[in-house]
Amino acid sequence: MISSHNADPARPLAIRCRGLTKRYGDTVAVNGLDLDVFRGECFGLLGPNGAGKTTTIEILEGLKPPTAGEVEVLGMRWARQEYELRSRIGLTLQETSLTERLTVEEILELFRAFYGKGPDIDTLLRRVELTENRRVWYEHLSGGQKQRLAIACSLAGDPELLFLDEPTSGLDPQSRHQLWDQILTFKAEGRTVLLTTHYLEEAERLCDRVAVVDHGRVIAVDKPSELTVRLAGPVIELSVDAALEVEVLSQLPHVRRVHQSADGYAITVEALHLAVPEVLRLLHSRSVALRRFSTREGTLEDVFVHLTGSKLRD
Amino acid sequence: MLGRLRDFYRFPDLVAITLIVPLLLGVVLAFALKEQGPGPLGVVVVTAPGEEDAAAKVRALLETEAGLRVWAASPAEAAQDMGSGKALLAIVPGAPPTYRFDPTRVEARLARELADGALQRGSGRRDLVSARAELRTEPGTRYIDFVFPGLLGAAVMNNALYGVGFMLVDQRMKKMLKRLRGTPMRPLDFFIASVLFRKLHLIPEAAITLVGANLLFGVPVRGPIWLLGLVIFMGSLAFSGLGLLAASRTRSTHTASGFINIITIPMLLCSGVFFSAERFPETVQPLLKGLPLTAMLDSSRAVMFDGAGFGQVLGPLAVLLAWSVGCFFTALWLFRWD
Repeated sequence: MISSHNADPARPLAIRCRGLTKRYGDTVAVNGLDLDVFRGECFGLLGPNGAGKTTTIEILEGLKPPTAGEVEVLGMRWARQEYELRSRIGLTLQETSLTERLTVEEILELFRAFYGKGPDIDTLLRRVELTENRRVWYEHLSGGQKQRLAIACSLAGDPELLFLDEPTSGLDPQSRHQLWDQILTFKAEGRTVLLTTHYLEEAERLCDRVAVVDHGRVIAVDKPSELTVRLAGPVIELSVDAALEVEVLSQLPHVRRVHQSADGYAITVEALHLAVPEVLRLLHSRSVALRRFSTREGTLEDVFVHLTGSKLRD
Repeated sequence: MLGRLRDFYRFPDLVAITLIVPLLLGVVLAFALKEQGPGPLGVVVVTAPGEEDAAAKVRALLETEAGLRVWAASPAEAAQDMGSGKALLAIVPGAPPTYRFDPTRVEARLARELADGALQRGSGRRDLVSARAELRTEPGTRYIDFVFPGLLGAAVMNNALYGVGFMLVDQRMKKMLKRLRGTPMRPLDFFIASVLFRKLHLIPEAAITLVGANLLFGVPVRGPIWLLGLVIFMGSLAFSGLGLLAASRTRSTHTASGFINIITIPMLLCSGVFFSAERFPETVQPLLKGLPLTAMLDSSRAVMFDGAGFGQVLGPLAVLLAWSVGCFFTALWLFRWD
């Protein structure tokens, strides 16, 4: 098991939680989860649906009480400093519908009124590129526009810490890229962002670090690139005209593991330049001919399959 | 608060309903009940075969009474007329004649009295006292005057309960409340905004209904208008409190509707909307007086028709205040955002 205590005493923490547990009757949604999020980083909770990501983020947002465990957000606790904390964070829920017959502008005015300080309405509209839609009713917005408005609402109090639960779920690729650019801007402004996602590309593009979550626990935490190098490594994919034993391939030097599929083998290796000659030598010695041969870099998907034995999106 | 008000006015149909329904109800009831009173009462003279002469004589005597509508029928037909309610009284001629009627029906008893009087006078009785009738049909004493404040109160009650309670549950279902919880707004502020927002359109609502009632039916307001306004406001406040209470933890709008019905239906029947609450037995009167709708209707009728001043409606106003404060804080204590 990989430690999730990346506590670096030099960097102040935005979120610290230990032994976070949430039970609903007999169901355990979060099972002793530990997390450290540094100030100023974009941190991703990556995991399949039902892994406990939303429950975790809602406990951190103070919307749900944990069954057990400690939570500290911006050095404060929900039980004691709820309203001070609320004025310093922003959040979007996985699904919310706002008042159908208010315009974009009116909704922002409403949210702006909840906070003592924050950007003006024009700035908020510009931030999420909704200036042209300012007088449009909420019910007439597209999915991407609604999501951008939700983000603008979360920015209404100029938050230090932003929680985004599945921010691009269900959006078309163009809207997704637009949102990614905006989230990268928050990070550039020095805000801390905690997001949940089940999109690998999103985690790789946005997050400084990701925690892989499964069955309510963190099973790995690191930079996306480190995780893939450490736990996945590059992959050789090949198919041949005769049968090869998985055990023989697995025992080759520099090979980490072998996965056999209907159309061939996927071989995860430490480094291509070391492993490829070994594989070719074996094929040659057995007089087996190649039908297909390719290599690719490892992905978070590979990490996930390796750690949990299941695919991220089923 | 302003946001929600705007939202409300974006649904023109809803505005129309809250403003026009009480007026429309009043019009319908006025046509159904206003000038008529009970019409001529049906009396059937039971005519057995061979008894036609005796029956015709009785019938002629009865027809001298303007309050009765008289016809003759065979025993079988007469039984049918009684069963259907077409006839309230059946008379079997003879010495002595027999009156058949249902004593639990006031109209049937009235028909019996009128018929008996006509038969007695026709047989030679002389009335010793001739009383003078004074017909009361001036504004302030008619049924329409009684029922109008009742309808206004029922409308205020429904609007407050649905406007506050139902909308709150609807917002909870859409996870809007959960999102609002993510802001620094406190439940108390949210409650105050939800309740006060309702009161803003209470003003045009009540004003239009009252002016309409006055112009169409001459329903008077004899006491101070500000006091009537206060009574309506306090009533609405009490019902908003009940709405908050019904919605404080309710998660589905179906359940919310159920709660609202449990609150409103007993009051519609017992608080004197359509008939006076004083018709109920003496023992339950203190209970009825404690209901918010009874308090609102008693005080609004007192102000409108008896010209009551502030001191005379202090009791019911205190009842309304107690409901408002009690419900508001109980709801706040019970309240959950999700």
